[in-house]
Formats: sequence, C-alpha cells, structure tokens
Amino acid sequence: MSWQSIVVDTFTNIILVYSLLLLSLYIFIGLYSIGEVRKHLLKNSFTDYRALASSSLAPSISILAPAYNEGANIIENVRSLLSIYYNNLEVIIINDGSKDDSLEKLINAYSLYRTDHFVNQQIQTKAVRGVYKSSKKVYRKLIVVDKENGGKADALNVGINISQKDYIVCIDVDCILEQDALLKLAKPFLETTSHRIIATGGVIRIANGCKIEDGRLVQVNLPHEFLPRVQTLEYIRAFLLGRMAWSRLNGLLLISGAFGAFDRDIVVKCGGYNHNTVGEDMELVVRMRRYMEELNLPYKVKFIPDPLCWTEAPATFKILGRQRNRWTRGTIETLQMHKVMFFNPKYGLLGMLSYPYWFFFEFLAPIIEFVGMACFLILALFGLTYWRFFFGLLGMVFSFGIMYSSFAILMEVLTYNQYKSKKDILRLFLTALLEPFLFHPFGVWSAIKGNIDLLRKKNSWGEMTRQGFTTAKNSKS
Amino acid sequence: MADLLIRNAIFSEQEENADDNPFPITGRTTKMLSNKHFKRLLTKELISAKKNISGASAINLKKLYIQLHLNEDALAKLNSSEWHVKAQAIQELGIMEQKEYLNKIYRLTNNKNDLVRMEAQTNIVKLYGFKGLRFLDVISYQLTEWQQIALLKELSMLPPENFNKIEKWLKSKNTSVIAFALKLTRTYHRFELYDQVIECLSHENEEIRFEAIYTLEKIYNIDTADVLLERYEYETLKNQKAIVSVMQNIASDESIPMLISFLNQGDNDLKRMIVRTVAHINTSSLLQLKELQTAQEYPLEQIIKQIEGEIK
Repeated sequence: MSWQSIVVDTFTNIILVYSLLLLSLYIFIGLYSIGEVRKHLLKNSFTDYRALASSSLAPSISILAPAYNEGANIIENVRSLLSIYYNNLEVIIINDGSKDDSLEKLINAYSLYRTDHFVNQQIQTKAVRGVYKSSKKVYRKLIVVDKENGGKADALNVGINISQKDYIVCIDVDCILEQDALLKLAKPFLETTSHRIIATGGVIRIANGCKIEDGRLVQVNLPHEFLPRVQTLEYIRAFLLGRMAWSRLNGLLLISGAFGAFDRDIVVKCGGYNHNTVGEDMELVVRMRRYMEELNLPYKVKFIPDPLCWTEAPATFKILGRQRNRWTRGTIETLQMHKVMFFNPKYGLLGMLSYPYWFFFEFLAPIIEFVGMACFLILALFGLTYWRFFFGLLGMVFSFGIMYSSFAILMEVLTYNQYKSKKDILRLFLTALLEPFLFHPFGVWSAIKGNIDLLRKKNSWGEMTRQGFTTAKNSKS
Repeated sequence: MADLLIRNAIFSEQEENADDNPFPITGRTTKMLSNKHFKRLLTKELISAKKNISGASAINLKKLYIQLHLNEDALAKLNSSEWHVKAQAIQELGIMEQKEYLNKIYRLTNNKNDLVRMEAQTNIVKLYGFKGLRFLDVISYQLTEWQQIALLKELSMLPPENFNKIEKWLKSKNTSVIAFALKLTRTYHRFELYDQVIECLSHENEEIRFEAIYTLEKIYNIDTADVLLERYEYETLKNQKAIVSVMQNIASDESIPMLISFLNQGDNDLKRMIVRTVAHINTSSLLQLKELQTAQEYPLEQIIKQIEGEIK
C-alpha cells in the first residue's frame, strides 16, 4: 500500500466518521427536542399569565434597545416597545452616537427632557452624553440615553449601567415583540428553587411579508422572497429543534442578541458585554455559564419555544453574506476566548459537550465541507472519482437534509402552526427542497469568508441595511 | 351538539334543588357520549363556558357536568400515570367546583410532579378558600415564586378572611412556606404577627430575611425603623437595599443621620437608594447631604443631582 493511498484512506475515514457523527447528532437533537417542546406546550396550557401581569411580585425588567441610525422607524419602534404588556418595566433606548436625527425625533415625539441621571459605571463604556426622560406620565417607562458611538456591545453595557431593575431584556430596536413576550420570558426565572436561571431566550421569527400595524404584528405571512423564506425555515429548524434540545440538556451556549433576558446581577459580575468580539451575544452567555461553573453554583439557561419576537431578515445575498460572515467570526472569537473549557471536565457538560459541539460542528463544519468539495473537484479532475458511490452518497446527504427540514416543518405545524394555509406549508416544503442547492453553498462560502476575514483581522460589524416593516406592509397591501 | 347541550343548560330555568337529571338528554346524545372524542370536546367546552359564567347558569353547567357523569371521568383521570392528564383532571374538578373530591386532590398537593402539585394546591384554594391552605402544613417540596404568585392571585378573588395558621407556617421547616407566609402576612396586613415577623429577621436564610423586611413595611409600628437600622450592618447587600427601600415608607427624621452614615459603604446603587430614601423622608435633608465632605466627589455629587431632579 503506497503512502498516497494511506493518506487518502485516512482522510476519507476521518470525513466518514465526522459525517456519521454529525448526522447522528442531528437525529438526536431532532428527537430530543420533541420532549422539551411537548412538555412546554402541556405546561403552558395550565398557565395563566394574567397572574404575573397583575402581580406586584412580578420581577422588574429593563428592556435595553440600542439604536444606531434608526431615525426612519425609531418613533414607531419605541411606541411598539412601550405598548408591551408588563407592569414592572422600564424601556431604555440607547442612541449609539447616531449620525442621523434619531435623538431629535425621539425628543420631539416623546416630549423628552435632559435629566441629571447618575450613570453607575459598573462596566466601563464610552462616554454618556445625556440621559432623557419624558415629561408626559404616559411615557414614564421610557429612558433615552445618548452616548458616543462604541458599537452594539458598548451600547448594551451603557444600558446595563443605567438599568435599575433585576432583569434585563436585550433586543434589537426594530424587532416586534408579542404583547405577552415579557410575561413568557420572565416565567422561567420564577419557576425553580434549586437552580438560578441566569438567562432565558425565546423563538425569533421572520417578519418579512407579515402585516405590521402601529408597531404590532397583525397578520403572519410566509415571506414572498426566497431568501427570507429559506431563513424562515432555517430559524424554525434552529429554534424549535436545536435550541430546545440544548435547553433540555442545559447546554445552550447562545441566546440570540435580537431577543434574550438575563439576570442583571450575574451580567454585571461577569463584566457585561465584550466589545472585542462581533459575537457579543454568544460570548456573554458562555462567560456567564463559565462564571457559574467556576463558582460551582447551580444554574440553568432556559429557552422557550413560543414565537415571541419578529425580526426582518436580510433579503439580499450581499447583506445576508455580511451577517453570516459576522456570525462565523463571532463564533470563532468566542471559542478562542474560552478555549480553556475545551474538553475540560471541570466545566461539566459545558466543557465536555457544548463547547466541543460548537467547535467541531459549528466552527469546523463549513471548513470541512469546503475542503471536501475542493478535494472532490481535484479528484474529479484527475478521473479518480467513483461516480456511482458519489451520487449515492450525495443523494443520501441531500435526502437527510430535506428530511430534517421536513421534520422541523412538521413540528412547527403540530405546535405553533404560524403559517396556517396549506399553500404556505407547501411553499415551505418546496423551500426545503431547494435549500441544499440554492442556499446552503452560499452559507458555507460566507462562513469561509468569515474565517478569512478573521485571519486578516477584519473586525467590522458589517452594515445591515433593512427595508423596514413599512415596505413589507405596503408590498402586501 | 355539544354547543346545544351547553346553551340549553345555560338558559334553562331550573329550580335550585331540582332532581339529579335536570336536563333532557336525547338518545342520540347518550349514544354520542360513548364516543371519547365527543366527550373530550364537550368537557372542554363545558369548562370553557363555566370559566366565563357565574350565577344560576354556572350552577346549571355544574349540574349538567354531573348528570353526564363527566366527574367520574375526571376521577379516573386523577389516577392516570401521565402528569398532564392528572393535572388536567384536577383543574377540571376545580373549575366544576367538585368539592367532594377534596381528599383525592389534597393528596396530590405534595406530588412529586411540579405541575400536578401546583394544580392541586391552586384548585384546593379555589374550592376551599383560605382553609385550603392547610396543605402548607405538610408539603415537603418547595413552593416556587411562580406558584406563590398563582396562589396569591387565587386568594385575591376570595373575600378576605381572618384565617389562622400563618403563625405556624412562619415556623415551618420548609423555607418556601415561611416565605409564602410572610407574603400572606403583608398582603392581609396581619399586624398581630409582628413579633413572629421580627423573629424571621434572624433566620439563616437570606430570602426569608428579605421577605420579612418587606413584610415589616406593611405592618410596621413606631419601633420598626430602629429594628431594621440595627439589623442593617449584619445584612447582605441585597437585604441592605431592601431595608433602605422600606425605610422610605416607614422612617422619620430621626433615622436620617444613621442612613447618611451608611453612605460610607456599599455599592453605588445602594448609595443612590440611600440618598433617595433620605430625600423622601425629608426633602430638606438634601442640604445636610450636600454638607458632607464627599458631596462634591464622584459618585455622591451626581447622585444628589439626580435625586434633586427626581423630587422637583
């Protein structure tokens, strides 16, 4: 046996074992999530959220919403946040040095005046230029902070410093929250006596194509465009299957930056958001978990499958590519920062399962796929490909991907069933058929670009231009 | 058909002590009742209607429920091995006010499944009011904050009653029972339990001391402020904040010097709370604060400015 064939055989076997492990994990995640979703739905059917809404014992919450050049929709976005159904609440909008007229618009619309607010610098941030409150009682929950530009993490840290409540809910200012979103998100914090719940997250859904009126979602529609639609499918898969399974294992590493609730005390003790990474949302959860593990304190990170937050997904390959590039860099940076946990039994499940999973199957997967594709092309070029075997394997992999997506669609229909018409479900299924050909390669390529950008030390956020919900509404009407 | 049955029951003008079969049931309905899907649907709609209706119509729905032997089905479900079926049966019997099943439901108030015991506890209170709280004597599992909120909501719908036993619960071995008893004490302003609440201030559990501090805010007397101020230096940061917060409503000018002396320690949030409390007790005491050596330094200078703005 020549050394070349030993190398090729070894490489092939590693890829085979890796692929089998990956597919097995997907099957496990899919099946394991069923129990958690079912348990949540059954428990929810007994829950009367009005008890919490009217109780003086409801935990106090600060919504932190950073805004940068959001002038076009800022008034409606803030109105939407102020209309959330929750008693013990403050809404903190952090104007992160916007170059547009966001602040002026807010001052005029909500009758804001500048106050001498003491900013408790528990976490170091860029300078705060002013804190504003409304002279109208109806907007008493609103606090607007104007600060020097420092990025999303820095803006959130300013919000944490300003906040005087027990829990913080970090959201993107342009997200649409369900009216009872905070009640549902707050409940897990009250439900346990043996563990401290340090963070909770809820499902984020795609709002493209939905009907929005006065900052409220009034009609759910499946996006008309392919890219937002394929992301809808992706989000269902990720949230309803992936995150629920990891939540059940208590191994969740990510609460999306678009919508998540955190125990403020632990966040402050951990030093707040890290502005040296573009994956500040994941990094915070990992750091909070690490903090609790190192102090040997019992804790949990919970995730609930209810669709609580609606966001606009990128509708062009250009913007989507930037987002995926950033997600990749964020993941790698977080893994680098916490590499001490890698297969470290001191960190329990976090070190032995969650971290290795993210390393091998979130960070390495696109790289392995890309290298595999390059090797395949070289082998094909030299006529070394066993085509029958290749097509068999390709068919199996694609079938698995489509089956997994179909399972996610089935779970969606059996649980929350947001897209009620049969036509929409069929379109979602067709999207699942097209995804491996039209979307997945793009995702892999964006991740590779993310890796390259990280090596080149590019650390920009990547501008995220949004069409705005008004457009979506108009396009529907 | 289920709708028709319910509608007839709601609008029926039955005498209160009518016989066991007050509503005419057709042969077709009887036949349909052997279909478990129909029975499930009918039960669901009956419960939904009962939740939203009171008075004579509600009594009629209860009678219909018994006439159709749906209570027996619920009883069978109570013995199910599946927790959600059990919990559903408890909820059903509670909404349908089936008081004769007290003992069966009561036994489930200490069930190992959290939802089953929550439903049992809530529905016992729904059926028996304050007397139903006797499960607090025996439960070994902890009451979550969520369950305490649910129980208080259930109790809030009943006319206030001078129920006893809180004193006993304040000495429970189950710390969550003590915490709940403290919440009951403050919700129902049970001034006679003042001494027992003061005793809770020395409890080893931080949460209980925290609840006791907030309970004293609702049942305070002339000595309470001094008691809390004496306790202050032995407390955790969280409880120190609770004490300062409570002082806003119970302290007088005499407490101000001591409160100001606390500004030398603690974090900035606590300092802000102290200044706010002092200003709340007497706005002119802000002048006293401004004379402090540290009043021109960070953070006190900024804190005083904020509080001045708040009280304007």
